Amino acid sequence: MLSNDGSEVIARSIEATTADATPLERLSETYRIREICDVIGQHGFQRVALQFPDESLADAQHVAFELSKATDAFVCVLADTTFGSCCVDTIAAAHANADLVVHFGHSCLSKTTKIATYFVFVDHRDLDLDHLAGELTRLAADEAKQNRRLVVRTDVHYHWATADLEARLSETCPNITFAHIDRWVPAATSLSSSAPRTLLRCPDIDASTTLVYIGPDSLTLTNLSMLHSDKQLMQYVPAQRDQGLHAVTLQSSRLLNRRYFLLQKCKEADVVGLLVGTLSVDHYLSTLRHLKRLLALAGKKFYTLSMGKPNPAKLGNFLEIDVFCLIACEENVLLDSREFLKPIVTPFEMEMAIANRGWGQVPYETGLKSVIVSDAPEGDDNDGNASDASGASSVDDLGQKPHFNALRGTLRHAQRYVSEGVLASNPDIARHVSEEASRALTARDASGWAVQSVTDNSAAAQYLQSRSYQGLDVQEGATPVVGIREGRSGIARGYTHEPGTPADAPSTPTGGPPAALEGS
Amino acid sequence: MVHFSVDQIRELMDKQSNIRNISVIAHVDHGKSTLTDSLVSKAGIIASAKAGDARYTDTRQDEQDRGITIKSTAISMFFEMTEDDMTDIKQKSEGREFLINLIDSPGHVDFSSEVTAALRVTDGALVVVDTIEGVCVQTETVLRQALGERIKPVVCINKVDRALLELQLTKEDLYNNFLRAVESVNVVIATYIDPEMGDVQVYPDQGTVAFGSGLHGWAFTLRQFANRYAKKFGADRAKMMQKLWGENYFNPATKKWSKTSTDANGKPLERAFNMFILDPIFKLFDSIMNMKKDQTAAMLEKLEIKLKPEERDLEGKPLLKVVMRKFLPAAEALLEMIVIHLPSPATAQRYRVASLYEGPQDDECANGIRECDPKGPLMLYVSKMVPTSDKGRFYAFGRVFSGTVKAGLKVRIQGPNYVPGKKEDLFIKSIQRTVLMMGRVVESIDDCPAGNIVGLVGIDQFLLKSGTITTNENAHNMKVMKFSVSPVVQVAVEVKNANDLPKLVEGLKRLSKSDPCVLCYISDSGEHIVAGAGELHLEICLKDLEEDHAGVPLKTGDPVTQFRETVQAESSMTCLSKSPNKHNRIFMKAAPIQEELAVEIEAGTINPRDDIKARARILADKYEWDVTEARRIWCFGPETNGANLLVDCTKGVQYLNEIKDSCVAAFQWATKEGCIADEAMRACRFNILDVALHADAIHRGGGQIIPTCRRVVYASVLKAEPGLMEPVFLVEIQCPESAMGGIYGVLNRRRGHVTAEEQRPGTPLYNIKAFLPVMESFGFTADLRAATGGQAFPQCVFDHWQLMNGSPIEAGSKLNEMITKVRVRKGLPAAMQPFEHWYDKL
Repeated sequence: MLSNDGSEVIARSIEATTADATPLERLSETYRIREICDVIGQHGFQRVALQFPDESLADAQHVAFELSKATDAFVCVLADTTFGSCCVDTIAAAHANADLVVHFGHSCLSKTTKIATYFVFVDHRDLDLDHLAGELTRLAADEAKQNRRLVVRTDVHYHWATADLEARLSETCPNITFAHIDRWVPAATSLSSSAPRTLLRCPDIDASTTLVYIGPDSLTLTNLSMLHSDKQLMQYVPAQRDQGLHAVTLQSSRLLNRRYFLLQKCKEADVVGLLVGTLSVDHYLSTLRHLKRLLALAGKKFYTLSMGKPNPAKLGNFLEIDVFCLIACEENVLLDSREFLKPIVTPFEMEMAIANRGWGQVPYETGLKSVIVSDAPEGDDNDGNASDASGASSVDDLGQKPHFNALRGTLRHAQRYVSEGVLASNPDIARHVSEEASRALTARDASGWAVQSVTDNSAAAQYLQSRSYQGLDVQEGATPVVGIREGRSGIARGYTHEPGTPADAPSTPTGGPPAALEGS
Repeated sequence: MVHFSVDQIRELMDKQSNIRNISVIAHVDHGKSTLTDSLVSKAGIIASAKAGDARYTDTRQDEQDRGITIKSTAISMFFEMTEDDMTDIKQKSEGREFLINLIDSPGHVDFSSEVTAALRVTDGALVVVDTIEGVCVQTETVLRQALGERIKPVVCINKVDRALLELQLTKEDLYNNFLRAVESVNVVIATYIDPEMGDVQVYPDQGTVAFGSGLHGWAFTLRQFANRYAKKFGADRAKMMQKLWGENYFNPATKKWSKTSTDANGKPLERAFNMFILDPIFKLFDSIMNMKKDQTAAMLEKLEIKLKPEERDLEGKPLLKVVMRKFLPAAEALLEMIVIHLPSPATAQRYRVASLYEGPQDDECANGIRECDPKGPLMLYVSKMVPTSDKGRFYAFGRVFSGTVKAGLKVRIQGPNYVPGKKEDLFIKSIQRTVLMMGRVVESIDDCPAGNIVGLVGIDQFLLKSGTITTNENAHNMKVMKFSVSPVVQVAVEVKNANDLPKLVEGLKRLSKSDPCVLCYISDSGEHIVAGAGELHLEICLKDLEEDHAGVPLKTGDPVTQFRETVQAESSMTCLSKSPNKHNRIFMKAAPIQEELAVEIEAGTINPRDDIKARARILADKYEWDVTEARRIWCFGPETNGANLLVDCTKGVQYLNEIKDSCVAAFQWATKEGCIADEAMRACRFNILDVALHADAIHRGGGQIIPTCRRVVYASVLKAEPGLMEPVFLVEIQCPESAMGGIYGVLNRRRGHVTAEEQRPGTPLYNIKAFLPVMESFGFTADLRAATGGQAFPQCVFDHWQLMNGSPIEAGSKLNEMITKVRVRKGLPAAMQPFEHWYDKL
């Protein structure tokens, strides 16, 4: 709706040629069709949705065919994912009325509870287990001398190797532990707040831990290096076995610095766009609620936007928004591209900025759980005492002291927009606003804007005022009166009178006004 | 020292016509602080244990250690004129007691922002010139600044003792030295003829030039000698002063004055200045330094100089000091000159109001300033912040131009971005305390009337560096100060211990407050950057940051310079970009604008708030623009005031007004982060030649237009011979001939080139002017010292942006390699995007 008519999605060619397809004889093994059948049989699922990443779409029909042959369940394939192929697309699955989603390929390992999910990671078999085991043994021995532990984490595509490696190394190297991934997630109506929010079961990581990542460079690794920027991180790339285990070259400090810059942008923002980038990752709703409450208390104006995958064209439509906060799965949340006009930050960063917490004092987080942890008791809307405490401090300096804008080295006076909800729950702010309002009866200013106080407390009005084009300008009497003429017809994608419109363009009966008055 | 109570001083502050606010300005090492010392020891008001120390106004330890002034410091002095002298004061005054507020300013070019801040709160300037070195680059710079602020100058030619003792100049040579210095000063002044101020050139025969030695504590103007000789010759004092300077000769044989240097018989005559003024001084020097005791005694008697018993045993230099101090006391000569020739606030504000106040010249506030009315609306300009002993808090240091400021008064604090009628950058607060700031001493006072310099407590949190304080709701801002230096030398700082980060941020805030010029910000890549005017400035700032403001150990990165991206020709083709939905097209060409125009935009003489028609006229007349195009400048960028222009050159495009805001946003973005090295652009104009838009508003929204407009800007840059500009310092070095080889060597190694080299007349010293890329300037001072055995001391000041050789887009070129490094440092992909990335085919 916001950027295009969707034709782009249909026209987009996805490189899924038959050349990429897995040979039929290996299909069953690669996609673990037997396992899937077992799961379906065990739980008696009736409708199964298969979610493939774009690069495996060529195999989709074969897998679906094999599955429907092997089980009684109705099997369907989910097309284009709403947010990213790493997350389980519960929306599309709900459309298909499915009771099980089988997610193939790369996953961000976010837990979804709305629907039962089974993960198949599409194993990459190019791993030389002997070589890797040798490397690990060597490293473990070295680390053991310094009384350090090893934690091994694999790319999902190499997760199959975990069990093998563990079996081989548990005896010889007691200081190695492995991170495991739960591939089966049953549906649950509500999740107790203590349950883990990710499929990953990772041993504790502390200062004496060396992390080993098995897999090529990926978002997962970037994430990992940012989360554990202060720890030692080694990588093993199966395709480049001669390199062996080596220290990660990714410059996580640079990435973190960049996030620090974005965090500053958050602090300077008066209007925030909350981008809902997931409808399936656990706790996205409570995170959203939490952020809204924080923003309201901080006197920032916010808009909640849901627009699928964010792109510059979509976000460019919201010029009035100073910074976007993307609520998404751990991997998609770090969206930093210079193609975007306004910065996009994570919920964690937004919270840090508003609560003015010290950067570097709390370990960096990408997931949603960290935000929640600091929240008041979950579930009901009864504002806990914890959030009131932070609210009280913001009431004190309500609209008073300017703060130092570290980005530009100037003093800046933050705008405060007070929402109705906050007024109801916070008598202090309400009093302040009414005081403002009582003084606010002022003359119209030069541009003809009515009472100033209206514009003072409205981000939208202020933005409109700052624009040079403020909508249709009725130049009454300035343009000649003309008779009724035939206007345009058709839909926005191509009106019938426009050159280059395909002749067979469907014209909808409701599209556009039949006739329009046109000025000179 | 004069011992006064605060109440007595406060009483003096009420008489506007008897106040003189002056700055002492000069080139580095010309002796400002030492000269100031000689005044303070005589007339400084507040007694303090430290009084009498050397360099009284250098309050910081590092100032004392390095022997240079870093921060400007104010002191107050008291002076009483004799009844006779009062007749020479051409302006109104009440009584014979005068309060002189003097601000000693730094001479090093890196700290000229301190000078600017000092000049703003004063009305007169004492320009100190070294007899031997003459008028140097910084003398000229600060003098220009003073004149720009409508500050009246008087001159003191300093270090005359060196000319006599070290150089052993003859009387005529010394006279010529003086003459040259005075002429050089007047050459600068002559370029600033301001009818409101009248003639401000300096003339020794009118008493606006003093000669002396700050170190020895003596000085004179022609007035002192005219006083002595007037009785003898039975002439009027003013007439006598005329005779004592220039081509006036006295024939002792005929007792006649003549205008020629020879008498009737062709015998040479001695110049009156040499004969009546220099001669006694030379004789005193000669007899004392050569231990001619009898002669000395005779002269002392003749000159009516009485020595104290303990001083009689002195010999040589110490005796010379004592004698000269008694003969020609510096404080009297200088203070007399200041009081007679420099304007009182009441006089000065009359003509300064137009250059001080932004609002209409006939409103209440303007009138208050013009009349220097203590009962008018409060108008106070805070020119800088001075750290208090309480860490993190500052005194707001400024001048009351109108009204009276007092503790508890509720005032409007208007920051530099305040616009009358709006709420932005405006705070209403009470002043907690008002204080008198005198050197190292701070004294509380109840209130402070117009015309005085004052410190305010309790408003530092609402102003960063400077601002206007007023009580009038309709008051406009006082004009912001223009600095002659820009923060072009940058360095990234980080904390050694990650937990100290909040302290660093707080420290940077304090640092920004405490220095008028320093800039602290966070770069796109998340680094904390401190930017200063030069190496020394940066060094001092970082030291302050580490030791005082942040108080945590810091790591300093390599110095970084900023670049500017530009174009050198018009785009070779019309560039086109299509919106993501392919329904909108923007056609654009980039072209360079003249360097002069870019400089004018950067200086703010041509700015986005100008009247469109008037601006179009200037662009058409001066820069050969098409008038219609000049009227259709959509915006300046980056930051809405940079030296790039977006021009609408379209004809009859429907809905164009709807996309203007989107284009402006895209233009600000694109010019801030150029496509070559992610640096800001400069001196480019972008002509929108045509636009094709979708008929339906939703399909030409910001989301479609902003990325498109940005891309087409980049595409047109890449087709317009892009170039990269680097900042260049103007370096001035004064050195003896023997050091020149070393200087040339150092400059050559650092891509510098010499533009002028001239010998200072009458001295063995040479003046070298050169351009040096800022990038190459790190370590330059030290390098130069090493290469010349410490004989050369450079003054670097940012001068201009210079195009770098080579093409940034040609792979393999030197420039391209450098850009790749910059990109990598910024965490960008090493290769820049090709033209095709930004351009769409039709």
